[in-house]
Amino acid sequence: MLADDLEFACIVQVQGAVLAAGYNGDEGKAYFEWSDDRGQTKHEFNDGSTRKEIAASDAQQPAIEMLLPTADILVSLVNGGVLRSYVSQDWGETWTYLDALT
Amino acid sequence: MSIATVAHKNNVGIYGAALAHTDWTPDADATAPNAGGNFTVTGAGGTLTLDIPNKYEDRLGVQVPALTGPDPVPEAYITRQSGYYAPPWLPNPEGPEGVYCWLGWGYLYVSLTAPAPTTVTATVTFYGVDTHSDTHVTDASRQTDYGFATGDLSTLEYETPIAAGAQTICIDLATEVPLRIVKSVKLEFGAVGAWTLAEPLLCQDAGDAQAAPPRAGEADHLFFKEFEHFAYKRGGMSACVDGQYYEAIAWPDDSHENTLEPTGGHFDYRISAGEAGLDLSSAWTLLQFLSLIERTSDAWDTTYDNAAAEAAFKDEDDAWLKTPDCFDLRPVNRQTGTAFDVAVRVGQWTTAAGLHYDFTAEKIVEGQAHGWAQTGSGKRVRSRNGIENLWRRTGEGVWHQVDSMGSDGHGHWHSSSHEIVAEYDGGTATLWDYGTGHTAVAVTTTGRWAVREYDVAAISPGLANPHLRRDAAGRVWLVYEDGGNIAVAVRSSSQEDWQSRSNAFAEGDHTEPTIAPMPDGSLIVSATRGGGGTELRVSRDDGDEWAGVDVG
Repeated sequence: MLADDLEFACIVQVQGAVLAAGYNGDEGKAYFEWSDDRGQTKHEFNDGSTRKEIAASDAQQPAIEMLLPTADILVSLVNGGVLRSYVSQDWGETWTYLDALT
Repeated sequence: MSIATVAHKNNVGIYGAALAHTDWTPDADATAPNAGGNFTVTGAGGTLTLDIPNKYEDRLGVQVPALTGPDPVPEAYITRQSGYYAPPWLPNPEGPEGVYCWLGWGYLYVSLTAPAPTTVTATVTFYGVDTHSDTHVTDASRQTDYGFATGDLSTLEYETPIAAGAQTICIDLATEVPLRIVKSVKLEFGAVGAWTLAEPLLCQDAGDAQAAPPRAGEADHLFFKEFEHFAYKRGGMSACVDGQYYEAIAWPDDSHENTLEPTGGHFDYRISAGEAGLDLSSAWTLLQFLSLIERTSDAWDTTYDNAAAEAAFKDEDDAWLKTPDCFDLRPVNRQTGTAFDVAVRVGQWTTAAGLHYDFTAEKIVEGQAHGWAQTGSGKRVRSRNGIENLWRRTGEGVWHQVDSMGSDGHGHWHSSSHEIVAEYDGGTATLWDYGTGHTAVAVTTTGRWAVREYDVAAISPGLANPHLRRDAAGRVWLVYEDGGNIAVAVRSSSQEDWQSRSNAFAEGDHTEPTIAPMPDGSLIVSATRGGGGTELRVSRDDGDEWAGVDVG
């Protein structure tokens, strides 16, 4: 099931797919997962994994949304009281740091 | 009956014996108030300014060096109570003053009658820094060589909404710069028409009727601290009133300063004139100490019960065991009562031969820290847990968390007691460095602590709880907590930066925001307010202006 290994997960539906960003308390990091069957199973990435690390995060809910028409996936999360944003342009395979608000 | 009590005043008018309603000076968009406080604002933004006269600056800058003042230093610079030297029977009486020393106050309340709903902006201009050059020698040169100077003027600005009709507005005096010498108060009125004002009053927290939702006053207003320093430093008494901890009880004296904390100090430090330079310092008597607390600002009343002192300090032959002095106050930390325990702090024990005695020495080697919990814009963050964490390390080592700080109802935080010394190596002590921050990688160092003293630091909730939603144009909207405000930003692509919009909520106590871009192009933001419940705000101009959702 989507996000069953994450805490504080935030989901959004895009073109029938469900995207999730959540927090892993053991590692103190935020992860991305997605599903194309309404959350029943997780999509497998190219390396066979079902989740991708976004970045270190405080223990709170990240936010996720997709920019259109580029289909860039945007995640904003808080780390150390700083709000950092990350983008993926390949459906979550890789994540790039964008900027920070303090 | 207690020998010594220290109680906080309430409802102290700032006019003192020197001012009246008619002393407010209008600008071109207002008229001067009459004796009843009635005036007219003829242009939106009209102002009234009240200059608050004091004799303190002239006393210290001119009269003391000329030996023409009503009192010598140090009493001359400790005394900032309005009109203390006004009585004509005193030598060199000064005449009346306004209430200019606002140390020990958290709020100023002004009763106004407004012609229409609008805003009132108060600007307090004050000296937060003044310096005193005191040689402490016992001859007249101590007076003639004494020097006094003020630093730059500081301002504190506070805007509050006001409804039509009669009401009392609350002006928050929370500041990180002590309000030592207030020079003027300016009120700016947003609506034209007939207004009435009453004398502004320095008050204990009575709530804020204009806040949304209205805020009730906190019941617990103050606590005291009284301590002896283990070294030859002043120790002394300090206090925190409605969260206002900067010099609530403290007077200027550069001798034997504590390592960190300003206080009302225990010593009357004096050095004999001439080459001998003997240290003739003595502790203030308890009666003197209480008098200094009372006269160092306009915030405190003290009592000294002589009969109770005689009962405690005289022996069966009616002889004084000693004169009660400030060291006879029992040390306290965060005492909320106003009566202090006083007892003889000297004694002699004779052990009986042949009996076994166990002696235990106790040494307090810990410190604490406190300060404001504020938003980035300086508003108090009240009654919130987990605002920031307290960290410590030695040298350039890794920070370790030792505390999580939340605020009380005044927006004031206070740490637990923590060690000063990390370890001893022979006679060398390695001290902890302390800091505040949300995580170990973002710590603001506050420095080393001192035994029994309070370090100070401001903490802020930081940014939290982001929420993203895309609008019909493909842009992504971001809302997040920014120290209690709910901030809004938008971006059209990952190549652009976030474009900040106006805060959807700016009252400083909202959390957990979400945003919903609507098909008609408007935006709705929800947030949980500090007092409970959810509020909605709507913007129809891309987040430039926000209004409550009309439920009519």
